[in-house]
Amino acid sequence: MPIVDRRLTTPDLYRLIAAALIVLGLGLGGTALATVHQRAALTRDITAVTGPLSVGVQDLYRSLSDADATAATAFLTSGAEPAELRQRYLDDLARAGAALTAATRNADDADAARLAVLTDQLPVYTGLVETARSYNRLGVPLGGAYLREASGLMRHTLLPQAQGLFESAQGRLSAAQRDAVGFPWAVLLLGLLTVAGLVYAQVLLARRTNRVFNLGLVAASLVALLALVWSAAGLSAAASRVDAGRGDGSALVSVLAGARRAALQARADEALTLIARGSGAAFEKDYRVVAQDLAGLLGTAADRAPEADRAVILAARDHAVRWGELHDGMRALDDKGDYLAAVAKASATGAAFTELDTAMTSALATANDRVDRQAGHGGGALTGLEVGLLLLTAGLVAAIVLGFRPRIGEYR
Amino acid sequence: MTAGRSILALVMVLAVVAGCGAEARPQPPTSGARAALPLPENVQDPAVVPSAAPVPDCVPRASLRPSGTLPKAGRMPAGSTMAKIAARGRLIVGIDQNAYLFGYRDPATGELVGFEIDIAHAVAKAIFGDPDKIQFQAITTADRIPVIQKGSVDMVVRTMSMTCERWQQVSFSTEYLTSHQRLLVRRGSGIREFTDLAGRKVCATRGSTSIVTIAAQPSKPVPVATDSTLDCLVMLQQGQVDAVSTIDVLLAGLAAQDPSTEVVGKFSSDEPSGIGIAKTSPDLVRFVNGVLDTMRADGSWTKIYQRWLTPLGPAPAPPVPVYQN
Repeated sequence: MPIVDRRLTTPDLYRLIAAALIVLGLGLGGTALATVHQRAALTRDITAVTGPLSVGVQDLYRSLSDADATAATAFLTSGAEPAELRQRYLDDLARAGAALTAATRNADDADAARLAVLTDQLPVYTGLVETARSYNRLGVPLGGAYLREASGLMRHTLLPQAQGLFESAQGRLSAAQRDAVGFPWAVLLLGLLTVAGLVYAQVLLARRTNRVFNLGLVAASLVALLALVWSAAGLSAAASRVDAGRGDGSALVSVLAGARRAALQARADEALTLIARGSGAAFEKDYRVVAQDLAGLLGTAADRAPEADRAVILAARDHAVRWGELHDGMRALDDKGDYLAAVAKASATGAAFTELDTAMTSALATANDRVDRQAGHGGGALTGLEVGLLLLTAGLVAAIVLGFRPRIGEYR
Repeated sequence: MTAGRSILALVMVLAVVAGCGAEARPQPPTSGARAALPLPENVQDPAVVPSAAPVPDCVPRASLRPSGTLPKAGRMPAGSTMAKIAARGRLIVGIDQNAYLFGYRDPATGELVGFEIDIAHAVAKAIFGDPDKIQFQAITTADRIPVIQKGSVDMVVRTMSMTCERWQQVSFSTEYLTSHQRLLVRRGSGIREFTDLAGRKVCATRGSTSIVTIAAQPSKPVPVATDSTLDCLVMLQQGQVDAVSTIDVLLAGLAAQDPSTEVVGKFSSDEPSGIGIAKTSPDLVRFVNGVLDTMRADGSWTKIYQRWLTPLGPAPAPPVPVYQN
């Protein structure tokens, strides 16, 4: 850039200033447009990809864990396997399959590795469960051995991978949310610079031409202000929506999903304690630990949840407490030697679990929905902004050109 | 207005470029996928074989002689271990719930049934007059001695081989079943003896005498340990071991669940099964021996043998009790 010559002619000075203002205006327009475009893409990503992905892998974990607990419960039932348990198991598998297909669509490399384990091993798992069923029907204990092997595969191989998928999905979601709520410093800075530049140009022109107003530059200033205010308002409205979706939505989802995981594990522990018949102390100990986690997480969820969600979470907590009482009654029966009565109680604890599961599923659905809805509203706040910014930038440049052209023309 | 128009065009181009974010991802290769075989839980491959500590010489079958006639059911001598059990209201017995024909859960009823379960019921009947005043606790092979020593069960009826080493830690009743260690293999595998198993995997339960016998074979098979003999059958079916080796009576129980397997080989060891009882309760040992004597004499031993163990062949004569003095 050459140093400005003291003997710079007036029209050249005007041209230089006009060019500088046009560059600033284009910079403002381009930056605002890029920011809005990126934010709109992020909110679309939350509603269309990362949000549903998180919901899908929550379903995956629940379906797999429930399939395991249901198979164990069916095994405990003597005689023919109850049709509703069989149906529940099959439904779990169908949901897990659908969730796997959906998760595959948007997997990154780490997720693809987890999904490979799940898609390889899920058919192996179901094969073991079917082998167990066949031997059960023959009335031989070999079925129990296959069921234990299947359950081990589920708990030690499949569920940790599903949990990994959930954590990765939550990570992607919160990264998208974080990126979508950052303050648009560049837009603000360029906007202020542009407005300041325009004001300076008008002061300069007013001094040199004795005309108080240059209509072009006044218009350009208004357009620049409008662009700045509209972008700032749109972006911060979008950001606060997405942020609300994070606070009342995905943060709550993480807590509730943790609670549901604890509940599912407690139910599997309960069945496995009975199946182990007297040597299940380790399962019962694990039950105590996860039941305590469950109570803690439901408490946290109730504290954090928006008012509207609290009722269903408190209902879930009541179900959990009732389940705990039934469980203690069942353990007391088993511990004093009445094993078959304890097994008979398992259907009551199962019913309490199902109520708890239903309440948590409904709370999770509300929270997941909020992530989606708030991101959708956030995207809505940006509606028209992209087109508007294009037009405003064009208008800004045109107004600058129109403001300077007659002044430059006077020197021809 | 050419400048204005070209600026507008520039802005348009910027907007279009910003819109092109999506990139195509390559399809991952599919040919490298390999299945991983599932394993039963707690498999030890190769098994850790306990080092053989020097064991004092003894007669493994020799137990304590019953003292006089058996007390009547419901009238246990005051202060005796049996009186304490009677006061508790139930006999606690460590059993196997995975040993077909011996102690297993009948999937149709959920009840525990089998030869050893019937023996445990007979002891409960002798104490209470009611065979069902009993609480079963399923235990693994490795848990048998610890649960007796901790006192969490009154006795263990779980094909427990009477050995001099174990006599150091617990007491045994007289022998209630005679068996020998042999091999279970897949039909058509061509394996007949341990000599066919050099360097190959042979499964037995952790903490059993069978593991020690497998490791001691001159052909050097590789011992693999599980929690339950039934898990060994799962591994044999899945092709993860070439043979299961434990006492022939348990092997017959496995073969009865899978007709594509067979019991082969000569007797590798002599394994008398006795009821394990705490060393601190010699009165209970004598009492149980009295119950077993009655069962041998009145034909009930033969009756329960015929009820459960006919796949092993016709009922032999009950094992003759041996006493220490």
